[in-house]
Amino acid sequence: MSKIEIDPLIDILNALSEVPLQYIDKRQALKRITELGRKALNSHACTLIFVDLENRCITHEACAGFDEEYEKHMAGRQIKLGSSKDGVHLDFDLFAKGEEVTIDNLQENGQGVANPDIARKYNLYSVMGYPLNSDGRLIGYFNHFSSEYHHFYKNERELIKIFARQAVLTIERFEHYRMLERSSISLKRLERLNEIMQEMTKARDVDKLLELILDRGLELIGFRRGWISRLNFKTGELDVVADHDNPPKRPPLKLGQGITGKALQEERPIRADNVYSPEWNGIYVEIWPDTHSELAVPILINNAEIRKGRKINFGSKPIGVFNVESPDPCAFFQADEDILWSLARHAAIMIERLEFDQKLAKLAKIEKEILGRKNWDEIINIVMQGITETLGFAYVNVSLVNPEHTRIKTEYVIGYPDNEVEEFKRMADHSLDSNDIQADIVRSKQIEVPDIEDKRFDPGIRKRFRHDRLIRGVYMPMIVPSDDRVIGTIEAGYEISHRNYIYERDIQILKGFVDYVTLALEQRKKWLLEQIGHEFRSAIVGIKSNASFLQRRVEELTQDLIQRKFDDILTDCEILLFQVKELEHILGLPAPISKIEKTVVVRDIIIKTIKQLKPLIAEQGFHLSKIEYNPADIPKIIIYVDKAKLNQVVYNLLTNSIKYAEDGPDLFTIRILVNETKDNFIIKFKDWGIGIGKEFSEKIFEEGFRTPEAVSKNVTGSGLGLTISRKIMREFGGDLVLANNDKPTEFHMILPKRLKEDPNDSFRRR
Amino acid sequence: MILFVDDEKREMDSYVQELELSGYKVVFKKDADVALEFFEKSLNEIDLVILDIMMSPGSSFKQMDTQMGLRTGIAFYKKIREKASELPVLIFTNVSDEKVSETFLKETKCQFLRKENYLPFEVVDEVKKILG
Repeated sequence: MSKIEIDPLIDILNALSEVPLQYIDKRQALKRITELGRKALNSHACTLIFVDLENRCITHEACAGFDEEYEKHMAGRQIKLGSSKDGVHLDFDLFAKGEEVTIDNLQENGQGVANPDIARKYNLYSVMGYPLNSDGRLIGYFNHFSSEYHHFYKNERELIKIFARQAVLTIERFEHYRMLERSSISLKRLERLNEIMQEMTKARDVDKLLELILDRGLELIGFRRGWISRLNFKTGELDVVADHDNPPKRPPLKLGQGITGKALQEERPIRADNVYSPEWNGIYVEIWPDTHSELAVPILINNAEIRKGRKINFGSKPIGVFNVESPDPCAFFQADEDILWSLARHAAIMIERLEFDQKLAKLAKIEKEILGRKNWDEIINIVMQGITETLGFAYVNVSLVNPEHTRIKTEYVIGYPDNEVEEFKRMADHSLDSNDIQADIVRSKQIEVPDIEDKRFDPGIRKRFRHDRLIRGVYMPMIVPSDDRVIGTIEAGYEISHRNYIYERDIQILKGFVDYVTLALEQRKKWLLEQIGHEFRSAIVGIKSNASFLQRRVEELTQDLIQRKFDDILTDCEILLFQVKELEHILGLPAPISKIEKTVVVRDIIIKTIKQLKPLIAEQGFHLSKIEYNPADIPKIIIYVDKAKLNQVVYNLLTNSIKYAEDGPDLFTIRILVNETKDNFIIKFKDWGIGIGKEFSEKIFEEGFRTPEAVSKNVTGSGLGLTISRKIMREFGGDLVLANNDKPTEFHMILPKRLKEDPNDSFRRR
Repeated sequence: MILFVDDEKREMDSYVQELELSGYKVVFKKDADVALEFFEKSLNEIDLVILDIMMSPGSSFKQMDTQMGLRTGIAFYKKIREKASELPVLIFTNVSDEKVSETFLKETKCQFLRKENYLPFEVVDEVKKILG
């Protein structure tokens, strides 16, 4: 099976949801569930068994694909776990584990679970038994048989998982409906409930779904005053998300507060016949002043997959509360509570499904946004915002392994007060050989939700930052898929008071996102390093080859050629220094301490750089005289500035103009002009090269960006030059802007006039 | 005649001059389009092609997979082999990716040299070995 076919599956799942209304007899209902399972999975045969671990037995409940004789023989048949019969020994521990079971060849070896004779008789070959869990408890197994050797692929396992979950819900609803019938809910009401549930499956938006649930829920029990609140996992507050009959505004209730908060905390519906009776004293919180009765029904998932340690378990997931109030005392009956409870359980599953899709869609958008960003810090910040805003985690910590692979250190963190972040980062720095949790995750490469008392937590950090108030969340390694290397860890968590578990669905979404980001970051770094590595090598090869050539051939060469060789060597040295600065920028190393000195900008920087670039100009076949400047501009700009940094900007602008000139010496011109405004000097660099598309006017300043025209003209280049140049100019209090895109391409270097003041003098005056 | 194809003319000058001073006639082309045109026109006169890998693809190689110019030399090499299966080719590059060198290991009449490991006179020695 290559993929799950959605449409037939939806039809089958819809048919499944009809079972509780269509069948009164349990055995017939279970038989129908098994038949639908056989159809969904395209099975040779299926069986449904219930497991009672307490009484150590299993019961054969239903089957499909067998003959009447077998059905009769097996119907309701109970087998003790641990007993042996017909060559079958059902091992208690196997069932106690509650894990999925696959057997390749039942006819040769039933592995104690199946009788080979029966397997041969009914042509059963391979089987997958999938556990049915309700409220985190194993209730049975759904067994899917093939008639020949069959490998159960991932998609098929996913399909059986979807079916098994829905089957459990159907069984629960069947039981629930029979209970509702016993509490004398009319068939009409049950039919209406089923219609509402069908209507809910069509909702594509959580807000609309909540409105629908409130509308239909109130209609179902015949009341008009109600509201739905959702638990905010960051604040622990129950935010009102839908209401009817204009409830007066009040601050949100906390989890555990009021009848509403109590119902969610205790995970059961609460019905108060008279909110002013002593029973509710100190608990009831007034919304409508004339309310006498209140019914609060929690919206929660009973058997959500959760992670504890490295294992998957089951636990409840509180989502919100459906509240109904009435001015009449004793307004609500058991039947109202039961039917609303049933609706709320279904609602919880629908909300969870919709939110899963919405989270994936939001993260896909963030992934696209990351693609356009080249700055490491920017990417990490977008990722952390994505994790908190989309997945609802309150706390995120990104720790990175150092290049020597000896330590792991927290580099980015969200969820701490600003004044504690630096101290936390300083303390969260551990040897990879240590017993620290982060170091252990790097070694084990496993996703883990450690217990809050876990011994691997740093006691110093725990005490200083009150980590016992947090769940301490999920720890996830950031693994580079190409070489299985761990480059860091991501830790994401909530406050312990608002949530009990970390849910596996969120972990899987987070994992997909983290895998994507890890790959994107590594690819970006690799690409930049390859580019810069190539440019380093080119310059070194230039120096080496010129030096060797001079050494061997100096006697035979003209003075002019020797001079050109030395010029080339010096230019390559300048290029190397320029590359070092780019590398420092990529690695995030601090720039060397600035030396501020008096600079005659045109003479000391511009003219000097033009002379240095003579070999590059000659290489293109251009003439130095085509770089034009006005000698009268030389004395105009005398400022106190970090000469090396300013030199880097001019070097970058001029090399770009040379590299991206149109072919042909007659087409090459660079014109440098000096202007001034009241506050600034403006140095204009104009060239008549290949130009810059209007759509790229701002993008050219983004880290790593190169226009398609630039890439096609010149393959090498890291796309960092203009980013670094603008950064330098802004550090000076000025700017670097693109004033015109094409013919001429015109960059303006803006230098503030206040740089005319000698900072050393002003320092002394102070 | 040696056809030397490389977009970094200045860095390759000493190699070209050393070859010339050693008695070889060298035609240097820094543009892939011009180089391909020259190759096709002068095929019978060319004894050896010295070829870089990272070069702008130009219009001749746009349709081929050059990884935006990072591997133009590989596409150029294929074009050479279409016309001259026995012509010696010396790949001379700064590309450090081992996958690239492995590509050429399987080829006959083709040698792969990393620029950083060869000084101009050493390249002349290699050329002598190839051309005899």
